[in-house]
Amino acid sequence: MGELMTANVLFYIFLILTLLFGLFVALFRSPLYSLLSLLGVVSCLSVLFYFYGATFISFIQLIVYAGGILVLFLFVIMLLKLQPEERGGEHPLFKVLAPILFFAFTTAGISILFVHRIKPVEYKFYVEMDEFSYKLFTDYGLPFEAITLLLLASAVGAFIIAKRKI
Amino acid sequence: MTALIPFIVILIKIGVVIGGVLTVVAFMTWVERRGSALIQDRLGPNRVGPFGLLQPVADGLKFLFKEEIIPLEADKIIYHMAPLMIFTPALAIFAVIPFSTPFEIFGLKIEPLISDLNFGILYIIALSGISVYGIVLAGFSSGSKYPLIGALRSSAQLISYEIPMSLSILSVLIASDTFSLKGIISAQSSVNYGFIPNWFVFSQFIGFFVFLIAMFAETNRIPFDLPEAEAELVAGYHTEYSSMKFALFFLGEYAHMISASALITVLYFGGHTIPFVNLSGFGGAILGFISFSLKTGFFLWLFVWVRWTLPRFRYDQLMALGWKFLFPLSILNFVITIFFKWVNL
Amino acid sequence: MILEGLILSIFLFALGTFTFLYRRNLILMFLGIELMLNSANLAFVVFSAKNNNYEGLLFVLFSIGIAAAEAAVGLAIFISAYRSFKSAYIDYFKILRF
Repeated sequence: MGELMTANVLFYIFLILTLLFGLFVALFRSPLYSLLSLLGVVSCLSVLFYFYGATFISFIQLIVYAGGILVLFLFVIMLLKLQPEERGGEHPLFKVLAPILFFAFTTAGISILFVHRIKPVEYKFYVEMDEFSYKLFTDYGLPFEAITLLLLASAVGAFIIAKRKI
Repeated sequence: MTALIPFIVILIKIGVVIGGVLTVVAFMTWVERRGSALIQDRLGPNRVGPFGLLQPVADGLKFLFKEEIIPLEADKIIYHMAPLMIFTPALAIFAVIPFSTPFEIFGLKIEPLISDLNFGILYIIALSGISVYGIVLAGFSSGSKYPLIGALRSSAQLISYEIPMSLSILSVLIASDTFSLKGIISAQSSVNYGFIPNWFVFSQFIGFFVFLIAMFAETNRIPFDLPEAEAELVAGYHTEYSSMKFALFFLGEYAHMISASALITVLYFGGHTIPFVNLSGFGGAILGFISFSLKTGFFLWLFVWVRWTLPRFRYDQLMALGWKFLFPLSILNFVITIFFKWVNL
Repeated sequence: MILEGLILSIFLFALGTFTFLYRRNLILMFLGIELMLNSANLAFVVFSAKNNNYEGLLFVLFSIGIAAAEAAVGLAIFISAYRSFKSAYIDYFKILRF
């Protein structure tokens, strides 16, 4: 019983932390700080995935997102020495539209949730790794191969686009 | 009250592991200096305490009393955060490393590892991926050019060598059929043909070779210590750090080295197992721990040995070694492992 | 746990949209996109937990792969744009319209 309660408390702590880091991503003007907040979001989300029973996905999230994708962003910010965005000069339309869309999305989403009455359920959810990978390589074999091709193509494409002289 | 006992046991375990690791780190600085003196035919530090054994304490006190200088150009928050981001992942790796066999004390069954994670190996790969951040942020936030170059070199090196490292770990996973470190150790506990222990260093020798080299690169040790090449970059990414923050970088580097040695032991040398000996009970646990420490200690000494023997690579040589030699080799090992698994040898 | 996760996912998506629309710095806009992708991942995981069906997790795997490809190409485009316009602001990229 005690263990379950600690797990619950930790879950809510990480939930709130994720939300805070998400707010920081949106509010920081400096690319570096925004990126570090996104790192916080990604790591907290991986902890949340662990609580939802998706252990493998939580580690993949940490390895690929935190260890791969965000490092790429960090490299670009570091190499180009990007300065914080200065105040003012926002697009007049989007300056109004962005907050409106933010509130529209949140209210619409939450009201849909409550209309559909998604009930809070108690569950014990654990993914068997062999089942998971069997599914990945049989039923979802084609998308898997497509993703690998996409990654290869994007690696070659990124190389060609960013190179000064080919 | 009984519900609290697991928590207390976990807390004690964490305390013991962190204390032990920090003690070994302090001892390693002494070993490094005495070992270098031995190799270069000098005496080394021998004034403080017997054989200079108290030298780490004196060094620590010196670091504490040094003045802390923060560069004017530095990004203050990230500058203070970076040493922690290096030190924490290096220590956190020890959470999944099994030190010995389970034993019983005061009627409590105690497992000498903090957490038996099902995906222990993935946890380690994730942490070594995250440890890039500390180095990059330290170099970037100092606002000076040598740390920036050092950080760039270091992160490029870490990311390049992570691929051969992960591929050789993957081969071990396939050979042992499990993600957990305990499972990997128990897969190595049997004996082949009556006299060869079933350690993966024999069946996976290409993988072991690649992993060892990648570990030298991951810990930024000579011959891969380009990030802190003293002759070119002053001290690399921690040039602008002083006092206790510099000490944290130092501790992080040595903790990383210890975790690398422990990982080599667990993945390729059977962890705490001893061939032909069945470890059980309290005595077995102690014997297992001694075996584990001896194996780890050997690799720690290997790190020191190599550092004071080999010269440093050039940067293009480093990249060529990583991408043109180790990467194909690790893929070859991977394919061979899959093939042998497939024909069930 | 299900409801809270979904609400968090909605908030993260809305924050990502906000960042993408409000900022003019291309890198910050990219970060907004990443935030949206992450919120989608969270929604996948929560729904697969709710239905006790692990197939949603496979889609998280695909989504992460696509995010990696997107980040690589996007940053390459950003670097080459930065090289020719000497700025990270999308205001300067208006010339691409003609």
